[in-house]
Amino acid sequence: MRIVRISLASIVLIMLGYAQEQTGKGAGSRIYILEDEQHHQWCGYRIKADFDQGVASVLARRVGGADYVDGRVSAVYLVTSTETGDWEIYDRYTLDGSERLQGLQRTISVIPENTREEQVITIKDGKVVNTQSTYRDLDTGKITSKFSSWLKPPPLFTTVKSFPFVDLIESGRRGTWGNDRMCVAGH
Amino acid sequence: MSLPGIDYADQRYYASSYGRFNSVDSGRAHADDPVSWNRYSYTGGDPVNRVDPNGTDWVIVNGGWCSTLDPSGGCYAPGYGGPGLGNGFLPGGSACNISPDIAMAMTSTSMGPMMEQVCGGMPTGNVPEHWAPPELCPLIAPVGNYNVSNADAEFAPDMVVKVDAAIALLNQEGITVTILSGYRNPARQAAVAQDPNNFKAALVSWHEVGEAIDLNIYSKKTGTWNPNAAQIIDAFMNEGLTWGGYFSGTGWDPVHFQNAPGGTAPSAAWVAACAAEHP
Repeated sequence: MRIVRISLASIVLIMLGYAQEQTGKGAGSRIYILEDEQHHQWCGYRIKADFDQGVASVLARRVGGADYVDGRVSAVYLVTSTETGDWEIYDRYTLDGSERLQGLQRTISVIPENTREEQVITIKDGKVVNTQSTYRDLDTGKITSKFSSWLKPPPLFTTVKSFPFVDLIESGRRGTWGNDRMCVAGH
Repeated sequence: MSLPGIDYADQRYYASSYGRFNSVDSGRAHADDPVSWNRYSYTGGDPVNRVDPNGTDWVIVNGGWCSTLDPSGGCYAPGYGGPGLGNGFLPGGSACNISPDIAMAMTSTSMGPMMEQVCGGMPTGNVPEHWAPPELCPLIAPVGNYNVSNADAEFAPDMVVKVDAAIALLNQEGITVTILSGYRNPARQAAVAQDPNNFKAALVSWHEVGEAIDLNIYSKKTGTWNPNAAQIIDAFMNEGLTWGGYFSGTGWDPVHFQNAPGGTAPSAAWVAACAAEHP
């Protein structure tokens, strides 16, 4: 009887955890997002494997996601690449307890320059207040001198509402997706 | 200059009464296409589906990418703009027929997106005829006078022919280019992805099959354009390569040329074939 109770308790706990994962309210839950340029939409996924498959099928050059902790957004990601394969920009935004953007870690990697620029940007009250950059050799990781690249980095965001996939961030948190995938019109 | 019954097609004279050129095609023959072995034929004997705007090689028009690019019904053809004028469109797309140096200036302004809207896409190069994955992935270093920086300066056979020709032309003009990047195996290509959280964007490049080249169009030391940028862009585009300076938005990549239209990617099988041969 005791074994049955333990098993039932385990099942309930597992189901509870699954439910939290589905609604994005569980600690450490994450959604994955890609831009489908051909259909002018952004699509969100709960399952990484489905996301990877989606990236390959539409050749998504902009992908990202969001982390949720206790029902609030704790981080937003945006990776921007180019069809030439020459560079990629990785952005990780962090948010405070009130879901205001407070920082950005941006890594700009450029193969023709063989260089990586690591930026740490501080955001306060919707404004960029500080930027620190470190430049590294792409191959060795050793610090190098500053370089001026031809690359035009995409704009950075200072509010959550300004993300092009903000609807997915919100609906991912509320758990209103009908299944494990949700697409919204994008820009 | 044209003689009766003979038309000049930029690089060769075309004898319309005979339906052939009066000299051999300087473009490549295709091992898998016996018709191309006749070096005097026009567009490999298929004038309906192909054009040969400058007499050096044909490009696919019907059923291919370029028939949909120009909303006014024209069709893009490398070199159509003539020597020194860069690539262009066949009738119907004259608005899109701009020289590389003008386009270079336009891409940094609001005109770039407008051109993309008008042309249905910025001017692009021709389609590599080995569109299906080749069984082998031979890589060849260019000939001529050039420098190499951070690169495996090797290319696919059809690409290296074009690189050779562009380098030769530039050498004649006293210009030496620096190749920043050529063929990349997947490991080298993956070096650009520095994401510890594994949000992997699509990362398939024409570099991975030896069909792309990066050049010193822009000087990182001075933060300025190479003073010979226009000549370099012109030389490589006149070989039918697509210039990344025509790519709009964040995709703008002025150091990049590829032997394929924008918005395309080599097949996974092709990339895998090259990766297997050049790990």
